Amino acid sequence: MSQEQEKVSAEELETALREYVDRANVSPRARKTLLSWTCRIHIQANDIEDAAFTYVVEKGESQPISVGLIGVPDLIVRGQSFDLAEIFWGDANPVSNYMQGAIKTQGRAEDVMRLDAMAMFIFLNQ
Amino acid sequence: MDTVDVVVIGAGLAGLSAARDLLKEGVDVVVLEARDRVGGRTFTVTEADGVVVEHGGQWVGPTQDRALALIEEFGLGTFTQFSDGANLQYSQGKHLEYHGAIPTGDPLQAADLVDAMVELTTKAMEIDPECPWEHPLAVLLDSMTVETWISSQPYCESAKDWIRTLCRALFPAEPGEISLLHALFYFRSGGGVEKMIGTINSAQESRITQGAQMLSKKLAEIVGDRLILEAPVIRIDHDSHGATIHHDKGTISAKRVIVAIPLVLAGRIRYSPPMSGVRDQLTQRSFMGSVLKVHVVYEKPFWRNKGLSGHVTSDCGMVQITFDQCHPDRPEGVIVGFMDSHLGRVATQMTFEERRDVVIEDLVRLLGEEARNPKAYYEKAWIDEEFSRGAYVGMMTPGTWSTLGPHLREPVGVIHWAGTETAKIWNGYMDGAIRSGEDAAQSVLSSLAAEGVLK
Repeated sequence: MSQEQEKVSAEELETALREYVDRANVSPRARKTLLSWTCRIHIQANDIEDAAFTYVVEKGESQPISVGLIGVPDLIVRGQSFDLAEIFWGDANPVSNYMQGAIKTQGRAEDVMRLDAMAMFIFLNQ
Repeated sequence: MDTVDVVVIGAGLAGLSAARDLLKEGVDVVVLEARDRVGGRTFTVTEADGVVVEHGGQWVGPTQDRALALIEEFGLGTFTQFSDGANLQYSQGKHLEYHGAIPTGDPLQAADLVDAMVELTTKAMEIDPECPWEHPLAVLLDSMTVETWISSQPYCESAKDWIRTLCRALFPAEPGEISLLHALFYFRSGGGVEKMIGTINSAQESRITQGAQMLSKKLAEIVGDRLILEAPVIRIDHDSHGATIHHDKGTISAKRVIVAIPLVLAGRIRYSPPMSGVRDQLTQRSFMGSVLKVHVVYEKPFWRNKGLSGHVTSDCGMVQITFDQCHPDRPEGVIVGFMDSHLGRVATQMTFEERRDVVIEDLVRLLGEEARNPKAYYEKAWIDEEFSRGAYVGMMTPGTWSTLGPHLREPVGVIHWAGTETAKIWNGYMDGAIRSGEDAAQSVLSSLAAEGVLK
């Protein structure tokens, strides 16, 4: 975790996010449970420059990541770069007490829940 | 005989919130309370040894805006529920550590639980908390118990058991006692399952430093000598002009009445003329949750030294849910445990010593041998409380929401209804109780204004 405020670069975060998308698309549980979910998500690291991404899920399928904040988001996710990367790498439990406090989300509760679920399936390798 | 504008029955958070809002508008109010105290299902006791015991409702969390606003208005403090360290899941004889709301010790089980959270919350968000009976599948969902739903899912047995434990803890009722429609309404009113079961950013996030009952005590200060304690209401005579309320200490007339007690107890008041058949059938089909809440006090919070949060869920034993209950101003370690649903009913048939012994044995199994010798043990069996008859909340039997739901909040002539059971948001919680009282006050103010009684 980021007790010492570790940082990752914007490039590392982007790579982590792209790998996350790949894993989400081959996670059988995520595909099945989130089959009907469509959501535009803006992801921003608040401790490094130029680390803003747009992640779109369309009917459960994760689309390729775009750099920058594009379109009107359904959900905004903000956090320290290392905490975000830990989740995208699948190394951290996204619903742990620490992460629930460290990652700030803005949007409908249902979308937050589904994003948590997707990250949980990846964390669990399911 | 005294005559006032409004009589409020019940000095819990709902009744006192209603009274406060009416007083603000210059309405003459009297509050009748059956007990010798205010607070209803919140009850904070500082024991002789200084331990702060929260016998009733105790947590507040994000989006519980009315409770949080009252806390701020009264200058009360809050502290964060201790959640550092690992939670424990005791499942099929094994201790599994996890962090967060969902146990992750067994990945397959965890994936099933995530799936269940998504499924239940997605269904819940389709329910209109104003009128659950209007859901297109209301009759079907209301004819199915939570147990029927659990049993029909393709989840592993340990995941199903955890969902059953969760159901007992949340309502607290057996999964076979409540309908899926009721459960979905409840989840909807609290913003989703995940928000209701967690600590950080969730319903169990904080406690009130001065104790949860302090909210009612502060409200009671505003009501002042318009509050009459130890005055259980026996009968309400009512017509289109007003009501006469007969209680243990006398009789009062009022233009309006707000009944701010659980449906079960509201159904035990005699009304003249009697309630309509449908309203009475509704109260007949309401029941209170069953819970026996225990506080076990130790010299120190030994579990913290073991890297544990004190939050445990268990698939066996009498105590199946625990939390760290330490108070920041006190040195001792306290575990709060819940004997929920049928286990709570079984526990009330034991002697005090038997209960204490089984609780301690459970804590030894869950937290280790250090739990063997507590300094003190306190308990509250809410089902034995004459003026609650259960806790945390009242529910309706399967088939009731879909057929009798519209009569839950609908005033009957001059009689209006409040209580957390009538809340649309955070139903069953302190926040819901406050909201219901405020809603009832608005409803009464509107009706008095329409009559020209109020300007």
